[in-house]
Amino acid sequence: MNLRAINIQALRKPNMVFLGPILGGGVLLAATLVLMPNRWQIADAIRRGTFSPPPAAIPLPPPGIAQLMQRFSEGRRLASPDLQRLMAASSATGSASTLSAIADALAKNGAPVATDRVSYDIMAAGRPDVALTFLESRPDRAAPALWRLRFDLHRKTGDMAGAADLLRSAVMTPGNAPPQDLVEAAYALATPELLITAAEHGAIPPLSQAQSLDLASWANTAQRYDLISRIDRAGTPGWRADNPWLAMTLAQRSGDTGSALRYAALLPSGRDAARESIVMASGNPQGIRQYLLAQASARGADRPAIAQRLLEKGFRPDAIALLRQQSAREAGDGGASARMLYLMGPRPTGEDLDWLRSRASADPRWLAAYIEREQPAKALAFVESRPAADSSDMLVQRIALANAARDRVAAARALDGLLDGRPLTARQLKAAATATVPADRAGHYALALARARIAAGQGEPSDRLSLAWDGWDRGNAEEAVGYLQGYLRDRPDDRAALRLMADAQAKLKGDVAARPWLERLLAVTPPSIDRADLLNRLGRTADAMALVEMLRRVSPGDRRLDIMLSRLLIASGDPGRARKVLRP
Amino acid sequence: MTPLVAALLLPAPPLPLLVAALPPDTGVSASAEVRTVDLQWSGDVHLQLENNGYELVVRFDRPIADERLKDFASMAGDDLADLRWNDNSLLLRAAAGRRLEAVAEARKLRVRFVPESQSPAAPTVASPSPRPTWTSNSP
Repeated sequence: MNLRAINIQALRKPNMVFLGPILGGGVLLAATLVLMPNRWQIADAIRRGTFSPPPAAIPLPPPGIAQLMQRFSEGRRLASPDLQRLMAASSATGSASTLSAIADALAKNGAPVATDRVSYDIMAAGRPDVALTFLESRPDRAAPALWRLRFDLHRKTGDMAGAADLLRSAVMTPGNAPPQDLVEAAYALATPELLITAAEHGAIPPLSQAQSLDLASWANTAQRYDLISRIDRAGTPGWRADNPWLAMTLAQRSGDTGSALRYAALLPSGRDAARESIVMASGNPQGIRQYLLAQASARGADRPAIAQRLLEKGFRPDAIALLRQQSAREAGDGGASARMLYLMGPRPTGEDLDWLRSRASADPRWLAAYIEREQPAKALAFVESRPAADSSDMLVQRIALANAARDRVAAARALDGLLDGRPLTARQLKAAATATVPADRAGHYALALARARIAAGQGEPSDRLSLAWDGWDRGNAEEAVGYLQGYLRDRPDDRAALRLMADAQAKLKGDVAARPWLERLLAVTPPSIDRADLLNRLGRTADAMALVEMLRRVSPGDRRLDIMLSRLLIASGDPGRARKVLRP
Repeated sequence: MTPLVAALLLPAPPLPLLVAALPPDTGVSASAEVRTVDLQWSGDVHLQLENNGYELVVRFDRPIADERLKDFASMAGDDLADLRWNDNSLLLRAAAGRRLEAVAEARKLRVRFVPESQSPAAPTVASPSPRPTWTSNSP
């Protein structure tokens, strides 16, 4: 104990080792000068001095390191303090085998040195390779307490493969190294997955929840998804509670949509976006459909946008149904309505058509949208059942539908309503004229429509002529004259109208009244049987006969001219000649 | 969601039902001949026809280009009273005095506009039979 303390003091003050003898020598020299003898005293002294023992008061200086090393390498036995000095002095220069031999010698002396302490000293002297060789040469090199030092020395010497081998073998063998050292070493080599192996082999305790999470996170980053199930077994699946986002991501990757959704629900924020991306990425059509429908039912949802997404995923009926909900809030003219009607197409079926019908029943603004998509016959029946069925606009609509349905009776029914004397616009009159009515009543409606047009100030000239003929046909010459006066103002040269006027005037007031109209007619009638007939009516029989003779020369074979001439001959009192004309 | 975002989500603006510009149905048949017009799809298509003789509804699983439908309408001319469509169906009506016959042949819809047997076409109010000339009023 005492020796060791001195030795340590000597080690701490290495100068004293050399200073001691020098001081001793100085004192000796001083005494010599003081007691300087004469010449023969000196000679005597020299003579005797050779045999005189050294003064007992001066201690022996301790042996130098070089001496100790000399002795040690000669195999001489050294005291433990010397060996310890030698060991301390050699850590910076000695070879591994020398250091190991010194350590062996110390152990033999019963004063073993700690392998790790020596190794650290060597390493501290900047010689990790020597330290490693020293360490590996020691009998206790495989002690768990030394594992970390061996590992570190492999790394310090640049032997990464050696460090990795050491770690790989340690994780397979329980008791090789302290668990904490294995954990740190695994991370130091960026191979944390070895900890899973370590836990599997019992080299470390089962992974904690924090370790499990950390490894799962690492596995995800490294795309080592195969490790997740091993982490769950070697540690705990409970790590997911600490990081639901990671749990969700991994579940989604493994195709477990249900679990992914469960973890998404645990997210502190962004749950909806996460849910949506999981569902959309799942590729499960029904799942996507259910999700979108659920979204649409949320308050404030953008239904048209969701409808579009449903459509793109192939759920057209759902998209339309969603737009129906939205359209019900519009008046049939909003964006959702327009989109819905487009998707329904020109002839919807089933639910869509029923929906349109019920909308049209409740709200006249939907009427047009419904009837143009319904079968014409059904649309017609619907419109006829409306309270406003007899309004002019509805009647116009009914005519169009009846035409499309090829239902002449219904067209006539609608026309009856329109022509009941109500005021009509030009557009309504035009629509009325398109009605296809039963053939046997076409004339009746033509006249009724002509009257309506005249009443509305929209009359065509032909309307008045038609009505004039109608009056004449019914024996009402006065009515005929009335319409013809209006007509002939527009068409003064219409021969048929002038002739009818002459006939009507003759019937009303006699031939005298007819004469001016016949003269007007004659003025616009070219040479013809007509003109001959007219000349005859005006009493100009000779002119008539001359004209017919002329016409017979031009068209010799025309039998009508023969008949005309014979009539004129009979009228002029020449039946004999008339007979001759008719006989070929 | 803002309207802008909604608009971005829609690949195409919501289209109104497309209606071909047609000459007004005058109710007067231009000719007594049968006219046949084809509508050709660009790819395989399943066509489902509902024809009542005057009105034809066609449902299909592949959209057809608007241009083809407009060409069809112009070729059908006066024989066509109405043509409307969207991306999966169309509806067409024959003009008065015409019946429709339609068949689906692979990618093609063949429509025949056939004059109605009762000839001349039944009169509408707008075209009353012409009044007789002077001969009917000769004393």
